[in-house]
Amino acid sequence: MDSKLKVIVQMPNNPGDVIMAMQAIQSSWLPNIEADEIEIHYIVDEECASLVEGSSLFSRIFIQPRSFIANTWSQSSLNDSAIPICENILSNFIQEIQTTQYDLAVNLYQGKSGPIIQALLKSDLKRGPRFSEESNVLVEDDWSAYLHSIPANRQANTFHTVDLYRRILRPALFEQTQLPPQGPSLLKLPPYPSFEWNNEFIAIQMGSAWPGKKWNENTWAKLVGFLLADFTFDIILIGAPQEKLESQALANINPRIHNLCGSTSLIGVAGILEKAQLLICPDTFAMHLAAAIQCPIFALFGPSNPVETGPWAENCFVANSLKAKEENFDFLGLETMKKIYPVEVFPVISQLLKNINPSELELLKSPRSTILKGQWNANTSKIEFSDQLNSKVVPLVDSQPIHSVKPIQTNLTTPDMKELSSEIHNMLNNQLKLLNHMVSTGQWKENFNQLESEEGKIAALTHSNISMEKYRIHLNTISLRNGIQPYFQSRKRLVEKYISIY
Amino acid sequence: MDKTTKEQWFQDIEAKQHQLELDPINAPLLNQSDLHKLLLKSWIKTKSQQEINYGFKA
Repeated sequence: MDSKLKVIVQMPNNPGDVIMAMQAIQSSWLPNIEADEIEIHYIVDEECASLVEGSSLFSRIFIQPRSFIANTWSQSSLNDSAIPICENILSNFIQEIQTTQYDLAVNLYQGKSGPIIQALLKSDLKRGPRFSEESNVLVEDDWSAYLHSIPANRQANTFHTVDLYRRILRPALFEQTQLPPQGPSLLKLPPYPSFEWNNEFIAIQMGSAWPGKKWNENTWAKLVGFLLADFTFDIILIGAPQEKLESQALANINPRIHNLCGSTSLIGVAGILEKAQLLICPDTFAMHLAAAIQCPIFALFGPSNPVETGPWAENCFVANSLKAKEENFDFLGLETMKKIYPVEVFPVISQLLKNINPSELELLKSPRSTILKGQWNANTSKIEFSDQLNSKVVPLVDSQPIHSVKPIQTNLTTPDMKELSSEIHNMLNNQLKLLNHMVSTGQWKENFNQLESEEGKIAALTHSNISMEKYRIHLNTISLRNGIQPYFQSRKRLVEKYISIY
Repeated sequence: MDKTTKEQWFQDIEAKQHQLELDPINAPLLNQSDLHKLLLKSWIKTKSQQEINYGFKA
């Protein structure tokens, strides 16, 4: 009889998220995988399959035919045959994922398909969003609820995404054990082609899927000008085929700059990064891959929060725009990258390239951006980004700092996870403050009207007086535990259920 | 089958979803076949970030 625990994990895309999921799986369960105690299956999209197929972390990969079905559906030439073809392919996929009875199914994906697949999987235990019988998307475990509530108030969060994944994964199977103490290690990627280059080089990725995360070409040109003047390294530009043209403008500046955008596979980028002295890039897939293979990183974080999606690696450096915090790390903000100046980040990059001990780095103080260093904290079992100017963890919340909560390991030995609840409670309070701010500034007025209307319904249901503030916290909690958008969405049935509990 | 007919294919599940939004207590529960249709719909209607404006060479 097979005594191995069988686990299936969903994180089909995007590439950076797949790498982070792999890092979490390795950190949570590697000793158990190597001891043949656990068998991990993984669900991935076609375009990210090369990142997981062949990795020793996984016993089986299910490739979901999403792009194939979408393309088949949209091809008008197929006409009548499109529907049965798509239905057939979908049925085969579902049949395959339903052949195994799992001990645990984890959905880390935030896309719409994740909860549906989660509902279809056969598993004794499920973590992460899933479709319920009542057609609501439920998030039943506390850490997943926390993960999905982050977009509502990014600046209140102090956990890296990988560290949150680890807290969802590990205790689900080993409730009485703490998180494994080891932090980031060399990720067990599938084999990838090696890359040969005659000179030492720095890798740069200029592009990003989000326009707000990018520097413009002139800004890159300034930084590259400093690098070429002070160092003899070549510069290799990496990225997607779509980035080739944009990168070529930079490559034209100097023959020591080489444009290899689009010349490698997704996993093939690892071969380049493995040989690079340093990767300089925005918040991109290449950054997560570099973290996974322990390539030194200097990342440029404009609109996004490095605490949440920075490189999950030790001794990595991040320049972070201070404006981003003011804007609650709004990915659509286009101004934040302009607050990171080449003249301010180059001295740090220069010292890194001269192999100066990171703890001895001399850094400039900028009114517009800060330089953070990622370091593993074994006590809290998470990557923490600290401001190198004062060696303190950057306070992301002015009041009720979440990092003042006791170390999280103690929570994991208690089944009720009370301290996590207090953490979520803190987050709710922070959300409430943000909500009050939005209301007072007149933003999202339409949603507020909806909120008031919902409040009226609750009052009618309970025949009692519920204060507006209490109601908002209730509503947020309901959403956190039952839906994806924490502020305003509610459903009558869930509201009734909630009121009966409280 | 033209595009209109393809869109019609989703109409029953969209009607069920709408009914659930309006009256979650009395609306019929979704069955396995509904879930299949919802999954197909989610794959057809959403694109990954990589497909939109990223994507290394395959």
